[in-house]
Amino acid sequence: MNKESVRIKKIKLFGDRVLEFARIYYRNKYGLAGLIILTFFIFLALFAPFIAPYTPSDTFLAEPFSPPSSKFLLGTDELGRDIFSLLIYGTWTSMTVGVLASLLTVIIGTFVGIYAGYYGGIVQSILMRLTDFFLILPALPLMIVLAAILGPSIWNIIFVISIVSWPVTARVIMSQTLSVKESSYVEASKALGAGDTYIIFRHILPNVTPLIFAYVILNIAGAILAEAGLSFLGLGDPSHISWGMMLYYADQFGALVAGIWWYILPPGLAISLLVLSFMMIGYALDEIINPRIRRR
Amino acid sequence: MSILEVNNLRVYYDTMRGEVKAVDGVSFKLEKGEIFSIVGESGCGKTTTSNTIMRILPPEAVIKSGSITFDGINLLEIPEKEMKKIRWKRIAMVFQNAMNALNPVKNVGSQIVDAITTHLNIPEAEAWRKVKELFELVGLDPSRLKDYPHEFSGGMRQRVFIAMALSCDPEILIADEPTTGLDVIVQRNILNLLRDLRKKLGLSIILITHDLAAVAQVSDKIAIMYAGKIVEYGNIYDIFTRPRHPYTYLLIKSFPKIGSKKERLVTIKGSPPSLINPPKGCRFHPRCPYAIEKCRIEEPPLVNINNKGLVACHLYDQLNLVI
Amino acid sequence: MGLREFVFKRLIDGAILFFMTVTLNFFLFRVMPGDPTAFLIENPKFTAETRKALLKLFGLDKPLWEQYLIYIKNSFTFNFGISFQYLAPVRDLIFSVRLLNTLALMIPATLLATILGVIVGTVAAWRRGSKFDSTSTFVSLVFYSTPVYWIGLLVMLVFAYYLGILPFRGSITPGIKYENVFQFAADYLWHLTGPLLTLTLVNFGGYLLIMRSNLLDVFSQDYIVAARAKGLSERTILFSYGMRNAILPIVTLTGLNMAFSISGAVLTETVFSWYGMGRLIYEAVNQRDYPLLEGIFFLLALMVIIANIITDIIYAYLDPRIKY
Ligand SMILES: Nc1ncnc2c1ncn2[C@@H]1O[C@H](COP(=O)(O)OP(=O)(O)O)[C@@H](O)[C@H]1O
Ligand code: SF4
Ligand SMILES: [Mg+2]
Repeated sequence: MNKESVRIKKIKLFGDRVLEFARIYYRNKYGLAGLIILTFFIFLALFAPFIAPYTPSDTFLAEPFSPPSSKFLLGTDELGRDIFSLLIYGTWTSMTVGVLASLLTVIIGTFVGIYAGYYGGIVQSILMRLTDFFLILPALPLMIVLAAILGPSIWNIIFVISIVSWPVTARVIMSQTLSVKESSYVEASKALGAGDTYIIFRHILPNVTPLIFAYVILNIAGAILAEAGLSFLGLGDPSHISWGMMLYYADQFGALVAGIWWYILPPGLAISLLVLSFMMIGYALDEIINPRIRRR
Repeated sequence: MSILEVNNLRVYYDTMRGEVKAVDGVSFKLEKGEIFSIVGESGCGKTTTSNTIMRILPPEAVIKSGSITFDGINLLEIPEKEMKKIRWKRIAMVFQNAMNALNPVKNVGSQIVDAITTHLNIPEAEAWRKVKELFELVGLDPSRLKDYPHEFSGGMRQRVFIAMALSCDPEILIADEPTTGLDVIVQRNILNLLRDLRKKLGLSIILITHDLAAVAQVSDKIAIMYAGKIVEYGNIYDIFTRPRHPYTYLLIKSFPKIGSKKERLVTIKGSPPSLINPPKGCRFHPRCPYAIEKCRIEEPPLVNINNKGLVACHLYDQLNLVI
Repeated sequence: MGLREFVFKRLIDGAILFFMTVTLNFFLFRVMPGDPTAFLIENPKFTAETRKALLKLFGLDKPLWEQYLIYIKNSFTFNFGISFQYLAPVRDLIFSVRLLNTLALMIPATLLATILGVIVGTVAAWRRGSKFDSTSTFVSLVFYSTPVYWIGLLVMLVFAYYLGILPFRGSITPGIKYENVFQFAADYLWHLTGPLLTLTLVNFGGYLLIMRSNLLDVFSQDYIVAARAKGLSERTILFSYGMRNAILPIVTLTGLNMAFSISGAVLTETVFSWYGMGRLIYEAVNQRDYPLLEGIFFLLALMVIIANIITDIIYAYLDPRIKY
């Protein structure tokens, strides 16, 4: 067999695997439902200016806290802003922070995991101690402290979430790295004199890539919740409206004691649904990856 | 009189990738007081066969056809309630891997007591006395009754499990690879123990293994299994002196016989086939050095040879397989 | 190695974690802000003497390594200076009724969530694939995805605003004079109901999912098949063979989950104005009260570390396989 046909065969094999994955995924009702909800939110985030009737800076100061009507589908907030529009614009913030924070989390986790797993020895012990330490620290208080010191900006929030969330990914990637490292082809590569960088990029990374993908998805849910939580505590970026921030204002301006349900229900429901969609996708991925559940 | 008769048993697993035809038309008889061995490579359906007899198959397993007759009753037809009276009480089983088959967080004595008190109507104190006797019977130190599984060595764990299997005085003992993973001397000791127990307790034993050499000395009859089917069946002497099936022949050739150490070891090329889409015709043909065109197309029937055994090979009377 | 040595080893681990926490705190509050003097001392409300005393206490005029040593010493005694907002020593603010209030909320919530999660998760796994199983899995996913403070808001909206059977906020009715202990207890429990319900609900889903998946794992093990083959009753199999194995990891998980519980508690306390550490951290952040923030974070981290050591030791004690 020549090189070309080997490559074609490899591509075909990969294609088969992707197809089988898609087939199994499609049959999973959680996975499908999650994907549909997610698509809906992505659509909202991308086309917010076209869908929302107003912008977050349109204030109708004469009409604060007005109940849902044909003018304001979900009523208005304390500044007379249209809650429905805020909700749609908030989608962008949640999604952006969620995705970017998750990416950064996984990048840090992968880096630490591969480094610790590949080099082993004292490096591994130190990094693992550090990982375990960050793993048991109370996440939200640490994020609060960091956010308070760094100041409110969307980039700081992304950074804060990632710097607190990377340990789980690091552990998983490390153990995968360890098992790949001990495999015969890596040993053989080494015997042939391949350098560390070569082995990491050629053998280790391709083997942890599926995990990396899975963890990017899995971490988004947590990142969205974290952003919302920080915003609810008043640590959000005031220049980007977000669902957590809406709840913060709702709480601050006494929506609860006044029974202004249209200010309280929609943002929470939105967070819940978006996070749920990622959770369902993650659950489906887990069912596919985990053979115990997959049987039957 | 045979004590257990398995007839045309077919058990498939329903999986996402398709139907795994794990056992596909297996028949055999176990005579009272004999040791009957089922031999075959890993994955050929041995455990499925024994789990079907015990009726402890996982939910994804489907029994497609067949009967298992024990004491005049078809075990596949009786309700679970009736089966409960037979399972462990009359037919007991030693599991393939005792380490995994013993509850890791419960001491071994109480695991045996659990079995005894379930089936025999005796008080717990007496059950413990019985466990002590069983420990002595299988050659274990009774002072270790309250130890946990991980505190025993591999061979001793098998003995624990054998004691557990014997705890309700069964008539049939199924031993699923009782010696796999143990070193040679321990293997021999366990097999000798089974042979002695057979005599002492009048047991009938189904001994399952992938290691033909190991069971040669203790078995009376042997069935060779390949890819869900029995390919040869006969008494130990006939099979060893005059194998009729190429697979049996290669199995025998692949282990060194004492005295002829210099003989080159024969290994069987290739690996066992997928049981989702097994090869057409004779399932062994992709690996068989004697295969002819017919083998690819037509499935060889299991034929009787001079009442000395059964064999499923198109060329059974043409090949001269000399050991 | 015996249990005693194992305990000793875990205590050493705990000590290392303690020093890591101190170091992290030092980094966060002394190194990162750039100018810790402005950060910690230059509060217009402080008198000149107080500032001088604080400067001396923190050793801010000394080189960094010396500050670090002073910091370690101060950490042992929770000496984190004076709260900007309350003008009282941080230590006194932390070790107060607030800590008790937080524990009174967190411990029952964790216990309830664990027990509920274990029971429902067990039934779900036992009846795998049933309506009950799929419903409870879905419900846990929903609770897992729902922000705890929003659940809190909903609880108040329904039970306080619409039904009027629970109070809106706080841990006791303000300005009330209690005639006896029971009246106090009743008022306290009445206020505790909402936060406790909320915190239990969000924690419970995780325990359910994990118990369910542990049990399913255990059910596929050979020893369960063997237990069936032995003819043991379903009850014995479930309790003595299944749960006994599946519940062990839950013990460790409770320790690991402390971190998660604390995050939930902070948000729950905030939304219910529960007079505890969580509410205090919220106030500290909003007033930029860094010394207080520092003290609370240190205490919460310590609580988690201690909880982990305790659960590890309990686990080792319960699992006969642990060779320490
Ligand atoms: N629960 C199961 N689900 C699907 N396939 C199974 C299951 N158990 C066994 N098999 C398949 O059935 C075949 C026979 O397995 P088994 O009876 O365990 O063989 P043996 O005991 O001879 O090694 C194998 O191909 C195995 O992969
Ligand atoms: S039937 Fe053909 S392929 Fe099968 S064993 Fe006999 S000779 Fe070999
Ligand atoms: Mg087997």
